Formats: sequence, C-alpha cells, structure tokens
Amino acid sequence: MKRLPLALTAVFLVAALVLGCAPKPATPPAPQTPPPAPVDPDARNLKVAVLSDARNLNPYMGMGSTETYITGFVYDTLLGYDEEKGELRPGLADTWTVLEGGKVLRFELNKQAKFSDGKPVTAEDAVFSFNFVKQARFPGFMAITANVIEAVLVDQYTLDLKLMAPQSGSLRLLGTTVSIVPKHIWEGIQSPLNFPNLQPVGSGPFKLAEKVDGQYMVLENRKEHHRHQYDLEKITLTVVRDETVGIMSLLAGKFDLLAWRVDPAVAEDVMKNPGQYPNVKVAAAPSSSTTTVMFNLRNEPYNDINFRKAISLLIDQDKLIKDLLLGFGRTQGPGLVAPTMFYYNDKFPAVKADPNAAKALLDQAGYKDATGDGWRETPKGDQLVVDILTVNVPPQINVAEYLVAELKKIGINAKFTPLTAEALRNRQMAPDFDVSLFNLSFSNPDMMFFYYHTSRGLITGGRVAGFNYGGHSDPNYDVISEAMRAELNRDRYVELLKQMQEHIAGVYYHVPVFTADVINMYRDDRFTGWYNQPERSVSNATTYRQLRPK
Amino acid sequence: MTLRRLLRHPTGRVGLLLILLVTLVALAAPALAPFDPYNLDHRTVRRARPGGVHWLGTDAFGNDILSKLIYGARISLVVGLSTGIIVTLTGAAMGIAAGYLGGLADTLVMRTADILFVIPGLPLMIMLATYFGTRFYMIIIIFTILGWAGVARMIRSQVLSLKSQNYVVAAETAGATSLYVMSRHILPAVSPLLIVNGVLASAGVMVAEAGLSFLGFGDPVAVSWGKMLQEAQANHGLLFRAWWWIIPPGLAIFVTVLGFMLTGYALEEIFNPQVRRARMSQRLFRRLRKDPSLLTLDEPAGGGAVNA
Amino acid sequence: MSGAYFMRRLFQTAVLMFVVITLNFFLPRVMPGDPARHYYEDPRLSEEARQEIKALFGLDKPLSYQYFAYLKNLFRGELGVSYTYRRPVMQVISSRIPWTVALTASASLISIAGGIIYGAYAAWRRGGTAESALLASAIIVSAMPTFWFALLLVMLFAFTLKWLPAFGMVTPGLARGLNLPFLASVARHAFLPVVSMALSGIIGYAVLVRNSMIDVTSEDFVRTARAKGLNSRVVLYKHAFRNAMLPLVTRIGLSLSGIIGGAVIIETIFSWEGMGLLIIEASRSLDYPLMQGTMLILATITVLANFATDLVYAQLDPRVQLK
Repeated sequence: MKRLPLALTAVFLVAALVLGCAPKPATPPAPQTPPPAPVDPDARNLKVAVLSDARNLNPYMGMGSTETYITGFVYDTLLGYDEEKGELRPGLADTWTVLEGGKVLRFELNKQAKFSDGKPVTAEDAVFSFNFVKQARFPGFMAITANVIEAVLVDQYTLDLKLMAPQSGSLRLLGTTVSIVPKHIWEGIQSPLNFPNLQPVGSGPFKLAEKVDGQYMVLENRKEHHRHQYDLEKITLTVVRDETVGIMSLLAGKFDLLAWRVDPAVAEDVMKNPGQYPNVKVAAAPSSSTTTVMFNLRNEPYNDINFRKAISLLIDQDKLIKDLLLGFGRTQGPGLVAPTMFYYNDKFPAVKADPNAAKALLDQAGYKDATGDGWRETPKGDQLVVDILTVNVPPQINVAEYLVAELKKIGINAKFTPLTAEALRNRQMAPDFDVSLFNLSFSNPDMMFFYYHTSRGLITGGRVAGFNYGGHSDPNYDVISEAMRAELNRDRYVELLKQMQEHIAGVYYHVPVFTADVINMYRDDRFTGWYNQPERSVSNATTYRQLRPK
Repeated sequence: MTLRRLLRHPTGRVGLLLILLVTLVALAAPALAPFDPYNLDHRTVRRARPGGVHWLGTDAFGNDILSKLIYGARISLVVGLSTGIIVTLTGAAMGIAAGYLGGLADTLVMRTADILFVIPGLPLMIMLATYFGTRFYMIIIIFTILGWAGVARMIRSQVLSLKSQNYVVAAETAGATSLYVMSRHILPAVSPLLIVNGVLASAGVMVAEAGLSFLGFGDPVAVSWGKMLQEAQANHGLLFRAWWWIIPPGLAIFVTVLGFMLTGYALEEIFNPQVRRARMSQRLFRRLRKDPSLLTLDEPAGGGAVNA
Repeated sequence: MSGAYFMRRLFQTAVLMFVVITLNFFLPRVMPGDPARHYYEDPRLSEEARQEIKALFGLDKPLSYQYFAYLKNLFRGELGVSYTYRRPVMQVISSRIPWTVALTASASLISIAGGIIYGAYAAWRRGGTAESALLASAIIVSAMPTFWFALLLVMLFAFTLKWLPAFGMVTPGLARGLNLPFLASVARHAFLPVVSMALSGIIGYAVLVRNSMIDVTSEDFVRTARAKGLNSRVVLYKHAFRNAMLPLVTRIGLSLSGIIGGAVIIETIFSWEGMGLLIIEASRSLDYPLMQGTMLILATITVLANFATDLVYAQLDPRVQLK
C-alpha cells in the first residue's frame, strides 16, 4: 500500500512530461523551396487536398463536392457558364439556338470531340444522355428535366431539346448540368441508380487515371480534348478528412491547394503572421449565399410586417461580420441578391442597425409591456417569446445567440433552439417554426421563384411543397416571377428580376444577417495563374486553365 | 452514518473530497468564474495565451477558458448524476420485477436486455441524436435507454438469491403482496448495491458524455468539457498549438471521474464488510475487475477498458 | 459439451438474431421523416415526382411488404445499396473491415500479450512495485477518456516532435500490396492509434490476469503442487496460468465485436478509414442502408461472438452447462 502513492506519482510525472513537452511555442516550419528544375516530373501535377472521398462517380448521382469535382473534369456538358459575366459559353456544343419561341433548344456539337476511349462524341450520345436522365429518374435531375419533353436527333452533330414551355433558365439549366455520357457504355446499364461508375469514360478535359478508395485520385490531362486549354498534366486529389491536418500538410508543401472553404480564424492567422506560413496564401471571394432570419408568415405576430421590420433593425451586419466571420464577409441588402450578380438591384443597400428605431416601431405597432413583467406583449396582449431555430453549428448558432441578446435588450423575450440540420429541415418543412435561421442563395435567378412563389409555400401532405417554408404569398409577385421564368429577352428579364428584388426588400420575409466569404488556401511557390473568382475563390475553372509551373 | 464511514475510509475520503470540490465549483460557478461564458459581451481577445486576466487563456471566440471550465462542471455533474440516478432506478425496477416476479416479466425484461446488449450502442445513439437533437436532457434519455439493461441484469441476479432468504419467504407466507415484498424487503436489501452502481454509473456517463460531445453530438448550447475538446479540434487547436484548449478540460474530466470512482469503490467496501479484511490495494483490484462496462462508448480494442 | 446445451443456446441465438434483424428494419422507419427522403428533398420537385421517387425506392409499398422484401434480400446476403456510394452495402463494409481489423487486432494482440505478461508478473511479485504501478495506472486509465489521451499523443508526437504522421493510413502514391515501403508507411500511420488503444487494453487485461492468477494460486491444486515441492515458476506457468486463462477467454470473446466495429472516436481522430469512421460518415450523410448495414453486421458479430464464447467456456468449464 505504501508504494501506491509513489506509483501514482510516477505515472503523473510521466503524464506531466507528456503534457509539458506539448505546449511549445510554434516554430515556423522551414520554408520549402522545391528546386525549379524543369525535369521535376511533378512540375505540372497540381496537388489538391479534399475532405471527402468521391464515393461514386455517376455524374447523375454524385452529390458530394469531391464527386462533382471529378465528374466536372471527366465529363463535358453542352454549354459552360461564365458566372462573372453571367454568360453562356461553348462546351461540347459550339453553337446553340432558341427556336419556336423558346420551346425548342438546338445545339450543334463540336465535331472534334472524343470520349476517352477514343470514340467520337455525336449528337446520338447527347440525345441518349438527356433521354436517359429523364427516363432513369435520377432524383437530383427530376426537377432539372421536368420541362423537357424529349431530346431529338437532327443530324449526326445536331440535336433538339423539346420543352413543354419556354423558360428563361432552361438553356443554362439543361446546357450546364446534364453531363453527356457515351451511349455505347451507358445503354447497357440495367440499374442506372445503382451504377457507381468507378471507371468513368467521358469527353471532358481530364480523365480519371487512378482512384484508390478513401485515399487519392489522379486526373490526367487529355491533350486530345477538342478545346484543349489546360497546361496542367495531372491533378492529384488526396483525401485528408481533417482540416487541421490538411493545413499542416499544405504548410509542409505536400499540397498546392485545399479544396474547401477554410475557417476564417486560419485565414486571419495567415494574413497576420505571413512569416509563419511561408508561400501560403489565402484568397477570400464574395459569395451569394446569405444567412438570413426567416419568419413563418402564417403565424402571429410574425405576419406583422412592423414586427419583422423591427427585428431587421436589430441586426448589426458589420459587427457580426467582424465578430463571427473575423471580417471575412459582406453585408447584404434586403433584396437578397448579391452585388456580384448581373441582375443586382443597387437601390437596396444593406440596412444599418438601429435598436432605437426598432423600439419606436414596436411601440407604435402596439408591442408594449402592459403586464409590467419587463417583456413586451403582442398588440392583442398575448405573451410573446420569440423562439429562433438554428442549426447547431457556428456561425449560425452564434447568430442566434446574438439575436436573442439583442431582442432581450429591446424588451422582447426570446430564446433559441439549436437543432441538427436534419431536425431543422423537418421543422421548417412541417412547417413548425416561428423564426428560423436560413441560408439562401439567389445565384440562380430561378430560385427567386422557388423561394417566394405562393405555390411553393402551400402545404400538401403535411409539408411545405417547396423552399417557401414561411408561406410567403403575394399575387403580384407570383405574376412577375412567372413572367420572369418565361421571359427570353435579356433586358426585360433583368428588369423583372430587379422588380422582384424590390418586392423582396419590402416584405422582410428573409432578413439578411451577412454573407460569408468563400476562403481558399493555397501555395504560390510551384504554380502561377491563381485567379480569385467571386463565389468560388481560387478553386475555379479559370484558375485551372491558367495555372503554369513557376 | 454512511457518510461518516466514507469520511474515515482512505480512498473514500479522497473521492468524496473531489466530488465535493467539483460540486462546489459547479454551484458557485457564477461567483467563481471571472467571466460568464454565456454572456456574449464577456468575450475578449480570441486565442489569448494563458496569463494576465485569463489564467487559462481564451478560446476561439474569446471566451475565458477558466470560466468555461468552471461552468462546464455543471453540465458534467447534471448529465452524470441524473443519468446515474435514472439509469439505476430504471434498472432496479426492471431487475427487481424480473427477479422477483419471474415468468413473463422476467422473460420480457431479460430478452429486452439481451437485445440492448447486442445492438451497437454508439450508432444507435448517433441515430437517436440525429433525430431528436442533442440537448442535455435528450442525452440523459438516450443514455438511460441504452444503460438500464446492465443494471437490471445485476439486480436480478441479486434478487434471485434474496428470494430464498428466510425473511422474504416468511413475509410471503404471512400473505404479503408482491408489491409489499418488493418495496419493503427486496429494495432495501439491494439498495447498497444501487447506491454503489449509481455512483459508478455517473462516472461512466461523464466519460461517455465527453466522448459524445467530442464527436459533435453534445449539447450545442451548454458549455461542457467534452464540447471544449471538440471545439479545440474544430477550431484547429493543434494548428495554433493551443494546448490550453486541450489539457484543462481533459484534466477536469479526469479529476471528476476519479472522484466518483473512488467514492464508489469505498462505498462498496463499506456496504460489503467481507471485502474489508483484505488490504486496500487488493480490494481496489477486485473492484476494478467487477466494473460493469455500463456504457462503453468507445471500447478500445481488446475490451481492455477497465470501465467506460 | 452436451447436445442439449448446444441446442438451447443455438435456439436462443437464432431468436435474438431475428429480433435484431427486425428491429434494424423498423428503427429508422419509426423515426420522423423517411429513409430515402434526402433524395426527393429538392423542393423544386412536384408532389407527383416525389411520389415517383418513393416508388423507386419501394417506399410506397405497405410496411409489411417492405419488411418481407428486406428479409428476402437479407436471406440472399444482400444488405441493399448505399445511398452515397451507389454500391452494395456489403461491398462498402468489406472494403473497410481489413483496415479496421489491422488497427484493432494489432491493438488487441499487444493488449493481450502485454496484459498477460504484466499481469502475470504483478501476480508473481505480489506486493511489489509492479503491482502498485499497475493499480495506479489502472485507476488513472479508467478515469481518463481514451480520446483525450489520443489527442495528447497527437499533440506530442505529431505536432511538437513531428516524429509520426498525425492522421491517415498510408502516404499517398505508394504502390499498394505486400511491399516494404507500403507496409512501413501503414505501420507508421497506425502507431499512434494503436498505442492510444493499447494503453488501456494492456492495463485492463493485466488487472484481469493478475486477479485470476491470484485467485488460482490460492486454490487447492496449486497449493498441492507447491507442497509436492515443485518450483514456484513451474507452478505459476504450468498450473496456475492455464486455469487463470478462463476469464481471459470470456473477455477476449466479448471484445471480438470491437475488433470489427472499430473504435469510433480513435478512427475519427486519426482519420482511419475503418468501420468506426464509416458509421459516423453514414449517419452524417443520412445514408440509411449503410447505417442499417453496419448496425446489422456489428450486432451479428456480437451475437455470434457471445455464442462462441459461451461454447468455448462450456468446454473449458463443464459446470456452466448445468446452469
């Protein structure tokens, strides 16, 4: 027994030693300057770290970011889309025409295009792909192909897509999302939904040379691609799973790029202490995905615009961006369209926080503390506790915390309920919520229809039909948004979109909190040509095309 | 009475002292903590190193680590103790019913227990947490669902041997109802076992709760030690060499769990006089072997974990 | 072993298996929402399209029909197709099992071997420093969360000393197979996770072995052997040790499911692509077939391991069969 304390001490000593060694101050790792030798076999091999494996490579089933990364390089679509200019550009198709008042889309394919097995890409493959996607009923593509009647072969290199109704978004939606697959391989597939496609054959600029499940994937440049424009020979994607480890490996020179949005805290550290991160750069790009406070317009008192407006006056976007995003974010106007979009209506800049105005507005609208308990009641005299639903992760959960504190300061009793993403979606769809944090993006104008149109907020079978969880309903908006979807004239289209923003800015259905930047982290010692694009940061098509070894 | 004996017991004294310390810290948290981790206005410099106002530095949001540590005692104790108590009571009720009534009740309880023993606990926990959220009361419920069966088994075997004891048989022949016998004779007889189990289960649950929080399935609102470790990981504690995010919460868990374990062992010896004749180290060894692995959240390979 | 005992245990095991299989089917279905929902989550979909997708996954059929279809598939050894992998669940799981086993089995072997040696030594030198150290470390290990210990190891060896990789299973780019660089790389990556797991394992087994050795050495036949003048080392290893192995068999049997099931937190910390990480991944991406598949495999292994342990135990100790 006497020895027990002694032994305990010994074990503690060992433990203390372990602990004592760890908290050493950070020593900056030695800068790694790889020899600029032209003989380096890896000189044109871009090494990218990803957080998850590509679990399947079926271009119609893969939904994860690594999956779309790979299939995006391996397969071509008929068209490309230049997000900055808001313009379509050629893909497999050289030209495209809108016929019969928008009910037919005609594409003419490039005659040089070949699949990676050497067979040429013909209109038959494209026709097959569209009809296959429609018939196989890939869940992710049902909405995309909903407006398509069928694809029809015109000649060897020409095809028509026959649509049910003219829609402004159809060309972009169908042209840029449906990968064209080789008919000679896919027509034999019995069960398309369960086809993992682990040896993909596509006509894209790269082909998958190697894939080791859960470990890494190698993409190889297809120099024979009909629009050969990449200098990179290889892109190696390594699955790292843990962000910290990815960052450490980038620092050690094992990667050139991390293919995920890095934590603002890390970006801030890199900018403040560049000496500790030799050759490492961060790039922050504005995004269009805005965090908002969404109200359920079906419930009292959230159906009262004054109440919603008062809450919007409590949100100090600048402060939240500084505190929660460490400055890596932008304020967002009530029109909810990001300023980087070509249809942005600049009449609706971000609202400045003004708690006193909020108080005045509440007083005026009849939200007063009549019972003397320190909290305001509704104009009808009902007790009021605002319950804000949020997903249980930062920064959303911190936004909810902040809102509760601000509401309490102006005399409104409030609490917040953190939920898992799944549970939150359940509550929003039910719809069983009063106030909820909600991320939305209007980078695709069609979404302005899907988030706000009356039909998308109707309750069928115990759940909200679409994204309009709060049940916004306005006959006038419905008319404009329907007209927008059918408008083929660009100027009138943009005009309608601007009108819709005016409406959105006035209803306070989704009140913007902030728009977090997309931050990428990369090394610039091996390659030049990094291009920071809005929405994407440096991991974008332009960068990949421009990258040249140093 | 028991308390006095506990205080005279060498390890019991240490255990009780540790529990007392943690409980006091939890109760007096607002007075002890230099900052309020729940108050957004109390946030200061992010990732400050230990020193100055912040004895243990600050976290990624500028919250004082020492204050989080102090407030974290609350959630650990609440989850640990209430789960310990609820699991033990539920298990006791089931075990007594199964052991004493026998027949259908026995079959029902024991077969349910069999099922709970083979269903992998952690996946089930994650599934339940995904649907029902991870507020601390949900965690208590989930732990109870998964944990009662172990207690029930143990109590049942105890009850089976009690059933043939003279005083129980005498009460039965005197015409006492089952309910009367169970509550007046059986329950008091097994209650020392229950107390020991409750204390040890609390210790197991605290480790399990920390593990669950670490995986991201902890209470998203409450400040807890497991969550502090999870945040250290999520906020790149290793990258920033923020050792003060990692070491203090782990030590806090260790000290608290140790307190409960030592108290539990001591209580068992007090209730069970036969063991007391052996040397203390002998008794501890015996005790270590007997631990029911109540909630083996992350059973290391080989099942070698002495307990949870 | 008597045939009756075997049949009784076999019957119990079969019933238990059936209940587990049934529960595994119904559990996700009684939860709010439904298993294929994230497929028709796209709110641009019309209600008709939503129904079509449900039909595609067989979810429009009555529950009883789905249940029998599930049983039928199970009987053929099919666990369905993973939502995210688009591959049979069986295939996904079997690609993970070798990695998990590599990790957990080596940790187990080290634990068992180390535990037996340490435990036997502590028992032999009763009252010595080794015994006290064992007791002290046993108390510490049981109060310390394993994952915290693992974090400390990562902090020290991977980040401060930079001796070992902090994560992953192998350096990318190495040719896979039975070649030295590949195996060495795996071993380097496995070092920290194995050590984190083996620490508590060694101590746990050592306590067990020490206790049963001491039990056994105080039993009659050992005393007799000693009285006959046999040297104490022979007594220890030949007589006591064999009998002391009984509880060890039970413990090893119970740990079998852990060898396949992996250690969820350890695999998460070290990004080890095993079953544990798969479970987390499946639940994060709401891949129900995969979740159900892993649950079923783990439960089955536990049931079978328990069954096998009982049989072995009955063989070693015939008294059990009378119970």
